[in-house]
Amino acid sequence: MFERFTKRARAVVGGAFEVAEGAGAADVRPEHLLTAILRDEDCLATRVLSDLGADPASTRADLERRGSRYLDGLDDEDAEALATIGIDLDAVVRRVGDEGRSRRRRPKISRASKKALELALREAVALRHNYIGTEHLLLGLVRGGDKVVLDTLAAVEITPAGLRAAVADAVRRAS
Amino acid sequence: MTTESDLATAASASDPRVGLRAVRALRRLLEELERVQVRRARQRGWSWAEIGEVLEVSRQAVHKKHGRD
Repeated sequence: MFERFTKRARAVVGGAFEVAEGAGAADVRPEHLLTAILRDEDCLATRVLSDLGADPASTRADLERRGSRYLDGLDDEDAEALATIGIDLDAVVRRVGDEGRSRRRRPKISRASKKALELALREAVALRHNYIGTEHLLLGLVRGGDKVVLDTLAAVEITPAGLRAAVADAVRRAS
Repeated sequence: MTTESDLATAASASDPRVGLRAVRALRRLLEELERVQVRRARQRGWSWAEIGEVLEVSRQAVHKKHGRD
């Protein structure tokens, strides 16, 4: 599958490992892939997101904020629910995370991220493209349904359907 | 003075929906913490039996649950 990735898309996947490592995460999660996409501000995916109103820098910051709260799979709603019984999820994550950082290994790709990469391939096939670019990665991430990714995009009012339409449009214009 | 957390506590005391949601979140947190700590113990060379002993479950149960992580 990787041989069909464009140079840029490959760089994004590599970048996601760096993002995860920098965050002290054990897994490369979908949000790390999205952050890596947004670091390449000239790629098609990031240009589409910018056009839809997601500023690359502030979206990266938002991803980091939401992601740091996740011990894989806990979200804002969980944090609120835990607060009602006196548990500060951020504090828990901080304490657990700090110790984890002292013995860091190279993160491995999470199941959800693997799934997103597979979906990227399917998106490319559906669009009859013989390569996988950052735009397909983005669509794959959204289709994968990761909550951090979707919540972050929803915060700037980007819906999966709107994004798909915008990507299809951008691809048509680029070709 | 009424703080946000007072309000939250009052709400959780009266509304079972909020209370149940907290239980669900706590369960998720528990699962995640267990996963993180088991992985950490394995990285430090603990055996499944040692981990099971602390968690008060069988070696087989821990391995079955976390062996693939």
